[in-house]
Amino acid sequence: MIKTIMPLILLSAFAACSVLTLQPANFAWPIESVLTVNDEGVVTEERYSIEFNTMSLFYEEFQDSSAYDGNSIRMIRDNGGYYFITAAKFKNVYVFRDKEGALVLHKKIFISEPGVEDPAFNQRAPYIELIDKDKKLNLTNEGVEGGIK
Amino acid sequence: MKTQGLIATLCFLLFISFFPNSSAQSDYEIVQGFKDEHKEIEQQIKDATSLEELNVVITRIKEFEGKYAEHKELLNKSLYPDKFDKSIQKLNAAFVLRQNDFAMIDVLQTEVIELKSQIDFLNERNNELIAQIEDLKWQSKKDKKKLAEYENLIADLRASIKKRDRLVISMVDSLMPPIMREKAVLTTEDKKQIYSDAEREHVIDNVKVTLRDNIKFLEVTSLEPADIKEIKKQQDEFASTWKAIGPKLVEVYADKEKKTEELLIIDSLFTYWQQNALEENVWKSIREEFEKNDILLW
Repeated sequence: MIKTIMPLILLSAFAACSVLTLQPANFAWPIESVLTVNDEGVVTEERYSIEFNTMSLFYEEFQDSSAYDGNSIRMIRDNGGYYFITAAKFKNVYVFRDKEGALVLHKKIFISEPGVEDPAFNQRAPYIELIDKDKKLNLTNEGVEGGIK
Repeated sequence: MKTQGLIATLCFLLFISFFPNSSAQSDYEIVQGFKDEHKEIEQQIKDATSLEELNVVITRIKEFEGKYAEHKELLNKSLYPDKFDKSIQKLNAAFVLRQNDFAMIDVLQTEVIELKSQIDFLNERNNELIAQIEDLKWQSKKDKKKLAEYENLIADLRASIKKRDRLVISMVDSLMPPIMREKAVLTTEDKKQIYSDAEREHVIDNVKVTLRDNIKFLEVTSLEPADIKEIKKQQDEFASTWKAIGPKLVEVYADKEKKTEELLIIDSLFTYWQQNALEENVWKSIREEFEKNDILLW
């Protein structure tokens, strides 16, 4: 009797625990967005309806809480839904994941000690291409593509 | 120590991989460049003040399309809500629409020139008729032959004024392309488009002459009930045309400092024609009718 009932119980328990998943899904933005930081440190992306505060990002990069003033950030989303953010003079590209009303840092990718001058992101699935003037680099959510050449 | 050395090597190699590359181009800049140039061309179409100026734009649209054709895929993904082809289509449509505006303006301006010469002729004729009527008015009371002549002249004048009024209304109508009438406020470009040097001196004056002549007509004649109905209809027609177009025409044709003054003059002439002149004429007709029957009202 137990032998008959147990598999049924396990099957029901498994069905109850499985999460409905829709896939494949592609979250890639075709081009980056250039967002101007307002007086409160907030940026708003109209097309994709995203708004967030950048104060902590600028503090993390420059250790200066007012560094956001008059600045703008470059932002793009890759296939997997990771947000890549950088700005002029940043030494790093920040990779974020969204989570219940917040963007949570997933990876901080070091780019250069003097910082990027005029950065821009291109969507080059599966990579995000970072260009700075005539230089370019392929990024994934884990770092620079292929690591170190 | 070993770890520090390894990190330094890694950083060095990372810098090497971030080497100069001549093909580095930002997609964002491409899309932004497309949007900016699209806007510029749209503005160029709007700003064109002649067909010659407009015709230059069509070449620019073709060059623009060719220049960005290689980025079509990127633009189709990035532009929102219109894609690449739709954006080019929009420019071509705006070009054709503007071309039609110019064609229409040409037709209307030719029409206006023709109407103006007819109006000038009728203005002159009406003045002569009014002068003759004033001469005959007193003679006709004594002489039956003169009375018939007087009545014929009045009929002529009535027909002539009516014809001239229709011409003025047509001219006022022709001076304002339909598309402009729907606009709440006219831009400088709109005004440039409507403005015609030849008409600058005449359009407002013709409206005033029309109203003055109509007032004069009521002053020198006595109306029959059927005439009153006809004049009422005429006044309503004039009022509706003037209400729709007049203030905009004054805006375009009158001198800056005279705009309010011109509007006030036309408004007061119209009010006088509509209320006082007609009312006085009706009373005059009644008095004359009583006089014919030897009844004196005062």
